[in-house]
Amino acid sequence: MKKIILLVIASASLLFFAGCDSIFITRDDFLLRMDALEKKIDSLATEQRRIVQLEDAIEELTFRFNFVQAIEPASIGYEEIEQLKYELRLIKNLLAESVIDSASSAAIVRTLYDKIDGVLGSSVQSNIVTKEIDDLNRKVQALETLNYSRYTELVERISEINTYDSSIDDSKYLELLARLDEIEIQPPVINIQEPDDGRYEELMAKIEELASRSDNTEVDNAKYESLLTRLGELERTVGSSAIDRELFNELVSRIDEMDARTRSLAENVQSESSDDYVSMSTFLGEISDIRSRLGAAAYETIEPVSYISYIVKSGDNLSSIAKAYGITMDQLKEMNPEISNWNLIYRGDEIKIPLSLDNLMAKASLASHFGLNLGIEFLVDSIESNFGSYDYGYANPGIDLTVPVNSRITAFLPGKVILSERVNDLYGEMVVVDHGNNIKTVYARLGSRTVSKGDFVRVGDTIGIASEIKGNLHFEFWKSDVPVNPADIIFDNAGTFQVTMYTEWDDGKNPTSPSFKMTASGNYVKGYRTVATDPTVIPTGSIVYIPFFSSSPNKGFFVVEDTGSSIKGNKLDVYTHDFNIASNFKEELLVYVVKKP
Amino acid sequence: MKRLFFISFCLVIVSIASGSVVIGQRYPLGIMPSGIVKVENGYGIYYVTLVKGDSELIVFDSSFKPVTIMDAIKNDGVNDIIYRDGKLYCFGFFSGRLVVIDASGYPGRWKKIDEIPTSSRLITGAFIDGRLGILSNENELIVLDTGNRTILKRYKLPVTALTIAEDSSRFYVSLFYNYNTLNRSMETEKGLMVFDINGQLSVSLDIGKRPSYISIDGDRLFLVSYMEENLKILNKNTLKEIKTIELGRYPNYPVMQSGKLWISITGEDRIMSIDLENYSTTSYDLLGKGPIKAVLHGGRIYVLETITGTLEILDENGRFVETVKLEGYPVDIAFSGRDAAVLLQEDWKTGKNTGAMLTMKIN
Repeated sequence: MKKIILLVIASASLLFFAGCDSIFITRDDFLLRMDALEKKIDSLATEQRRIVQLEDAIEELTFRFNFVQAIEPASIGYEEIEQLKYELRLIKNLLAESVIDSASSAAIVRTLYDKIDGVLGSSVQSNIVTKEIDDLNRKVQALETLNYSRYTELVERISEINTYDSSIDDSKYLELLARLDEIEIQPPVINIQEPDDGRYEELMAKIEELASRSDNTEVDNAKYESLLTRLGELERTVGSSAIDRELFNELVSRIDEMDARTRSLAENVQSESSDDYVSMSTFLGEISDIRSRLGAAAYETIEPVSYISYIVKSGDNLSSIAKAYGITMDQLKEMNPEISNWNLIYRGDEIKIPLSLDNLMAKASLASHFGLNLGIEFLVDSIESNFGSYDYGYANPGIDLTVPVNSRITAFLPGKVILSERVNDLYGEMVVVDHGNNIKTVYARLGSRTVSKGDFVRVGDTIGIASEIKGNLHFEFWKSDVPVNPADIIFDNAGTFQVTMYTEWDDGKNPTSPSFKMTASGNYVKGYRTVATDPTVIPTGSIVYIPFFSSSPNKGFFVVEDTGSSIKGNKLDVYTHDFNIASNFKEELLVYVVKKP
Repeated sequence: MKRLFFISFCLVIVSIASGSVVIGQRYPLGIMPSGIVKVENGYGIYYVTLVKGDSELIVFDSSFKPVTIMDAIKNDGVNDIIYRDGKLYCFGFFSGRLVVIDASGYPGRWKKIDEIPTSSRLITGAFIDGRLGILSNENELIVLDTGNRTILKRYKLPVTALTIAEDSSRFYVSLFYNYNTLNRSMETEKGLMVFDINGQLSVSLDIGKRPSYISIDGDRLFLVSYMEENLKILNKNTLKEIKTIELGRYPNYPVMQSGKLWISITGEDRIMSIDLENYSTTSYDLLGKGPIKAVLHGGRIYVLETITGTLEILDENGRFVETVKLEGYPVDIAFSGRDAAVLLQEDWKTGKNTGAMLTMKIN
C-alpha cells in the first residue's frame, strides 16, 4: 500500500514538473516530455549547484574579510575592505532578489576573490614576516647571551671556591690566579659577547677577595687538583660554546637582509606595488634555512666527550642517577673522584656519567629509534611536518612523524623527565627529558604518557603511547636552548650549496623529443623530487634534504637524478615546472645528505 | 509528508550529482605515461596509454576503467604508438624494433604479432597505404613496407627530426634539431623535408629554427616553429608560405577542431585559436599556469596546465567556467560521452616517480 501511495505521489510530481494536462498521452509525447523534464532537472540541478558554490564562495569571502580585519587592520586600509564588503553585500542582495544570474554573479565573486586575496596575501605576508623577524632577533639575542651565562657560571664557581674549608698557599694561589687571568684575557670569539656590564669587575673582585685571605694552612692537594680540573673544563666550555665568528656574522647578515626585505615588503604593502614582493614560499624557505643553521651551530657545540655531564636536580641522589643511566655506583664513583662525600650532593652539582654521548648520538640512531628508513618515499609519506616548515603557522621547531598507532614512544637518550603533562591542543600530551650537556628532547602529541616529572629514563624506556592521529609524534631536540634540526642528528650536513632551479624547457626540447624530461641517470624528472649535482660531490642516486624546501610537498627531500654542465662543486640544481621561479632562483642553502647509493 | 521529503531528497541528490565536473578515480600508472590513443574495434572503444618509462600499454574501456596491461613490449623502450587498421604499431627506441600488436579483438586477447628490427632507435612514424615512414634517433627517415616487412629506404637526415605527418602521397618531416641552442647557430638551414611514398626527397625548405609540430588541413600545412615562436601556414602543393602568425614562448600541442587550430602557449599562460578560414587569431588568458594542451569538447575548452597542475575550463567564448585541481602534471585528456580522463605524467600526491589516470564526470 505504501509503495502504491509513493508511486502515485512520484507520478503526480513528475506530471506537475512536466506540465502535463492529462495523464493519457502517447508514447512519443511521453518521451518528448520526459526529455524536456530531464533537461529542466539538469538545468535546475546546474543552477542549484552554482548557487551552492556561490553561497560557499560568499561564506568563504566573509571569513576572509573577518580574518583580514583580525590580523592587521592598521596596515591594510579600511576603505578597501569597506568597499569589498559593500560589493559582497551587493552581490548577496542581488542573488537574493534573483536580479542577476549565477554565471554573472560567479564572475563577480571571482573578482572579489582576487581582490581579497591581494589584500589578504599582503597582510598575511606582512604579519608573518614581522613575527618571524622578531622571533629571529630573539634567537640572535639568545645566542649573544649564550656566552654571558658562561661568565656567570665562572663567577658562581669562584663563589664556590670561597666556600672551601682549606686555603691555598701563595705559589699555588698565584698559579691559579694566572689561570684565571688567562681566561680573562682570552679574546672573545664574538665581539658583542665581551661583557661590558661590570661582570669582569665582579670577577676580579672575587679574585682579590680570594687573594686577601691570609690563611697559610697547607693546601688540600686533592681539592686543589679538582679545582684546577674544573677550571680547565670551564675554559674549554667557554671556548667551545662560542659560535664561529664567521657563521655568526653570516647569520646576522642574513637576518639583517631579511629585516631589510621586511621593510621593503612593508613599503610595498603600503604602496600596493607587488613587483618587488618577497614570495611567501621564498620567505618561509629562508626561515627554515636560517633556523636549521642556528640549530646546526648549536649542535656543533656538543663536545666529543666520553661522558654525559649531569647537573643535579632537586630530589636526586647518586643511586637514583646511577640506576637511571644503567651504571653501577662504583662506575659513578670512579668517574667522579672529586666527590668525597657520596651522601651529600647539592642541586647544581655536576656529575659525570660514564656513558659515551658520541655513541648515543651516532648518526642515524634517531632514525632507527623512530623506525624511519631513509628511502625518499618513506620519508615523504611518514614525515607530516619537517623542521622549519610552516604547516602550523609558525616555523616547526621539531619534526612531526606518523608512527603506527599504539606504538611505544621511547626515550632517545637517557635523562630525567622535567615535564610530563598536557600542555595545549597543539602539543597535547607532552614529555620533556633533560639529558645533561645542555641537551633536552621534547616528545609531544602522545596518546598517553607513562612517565612523571622527576622520573629517570634510560635509552629505550617507554615514555608514552602513540595515538591514532596523523603526525602522532612531535619530536624536538634542543641544545643550549636552541632547537636543532633533527636532520643534524640523522643525516650528514653537507654544508652550504649554491642552489638554482631548472625546468624541462631550458634545453629547448619539446614534449615530442624522446629525451624530453629525461635526466642524466636515465630517469625522468619529477617536480619536488629531482635535483642535479656534481657527481663527485654528491653522487647520483643520493637522497638529499634541503631545509629551505621543508614546506614543499616533498618536505624538503630530493633524489639526485641529474647532472649539469654548469653544476660543479657545491652547486645544486632543483627541477621545477615553473620557469618563472626557475629563472630568478639563486640561493645559498644548507644541504644534508640523507643517503648515498 | 515523509514521502514528499523522500522525493525532495531524491531531487536534491540528482541536482548535486549533475555538477559540471565531478572527480572520479585516480588510477596509478607507471613512470612517464605519455599520451592517450583511441582504439575503436568491433568490440568497442578503448583508450590506450603508453607508459614510456616502463614501456607498457595500459588499456582503458570507454568509461575509463582499466581493462588490461600489456607488457609484451617491456624490453623495447617504446617511445610512441600509432593505431591503424586494428593494429597498434609501437616504435621501440631501445630495441630498434617496430612491434605490431593485433588490437582487433577484446583487449584481453590483444597480442604481439610481429617484431620488425630496424637497427635504429625509433622515435615515431606515419602511414601511407601500408608504408610506414619512421623517424629514428640516428637522423633517418626509414620507409618500411609493413606488408612484406622490408625496409624500402633509409634516408639520412641532416639532424634528428621529431615529427612526421602524411597525406595521401607524401611524408612531411620537420627537422627539430636544425638549431643548436648551445652554440646558438644553425646546424642546417633546412627545416622541412618532403618525401614521396618511396622515401625519395621531393623538396626541402628553410622554415626557421626548430620547426616542430605539423598539422595538415586540406591543401594547407601548419608548422609550429618552436624557437621562432610562430606558426607558418604553407600551401601543401606549392609549399609557398600563405601566412606567418606570431605565437609566443613555448607553443605546444596544436589541436585542430571546429574550424580552428588551438595552440597552448605554455610560456605565457594563455592559449590561442587560429581561425582556419580567415586566419584571425584570438588569445585567451588563463588563471592557471603552464598550459600544454587545449581541447574543445561539448562547447567548452578544456586546458591542461602543467605548472599549477590544473584543468581549466572555459566556455566557447573563452570565459572562465571552472578550475579542477589535478595535483599532477597533465599531458593529455580524452572524452567519452560524459566521462573524461586526464593523463597525469607526474602524480604529485605520491613520493613516487609515477603518473596517474584521473577520471571525471562532466556535464
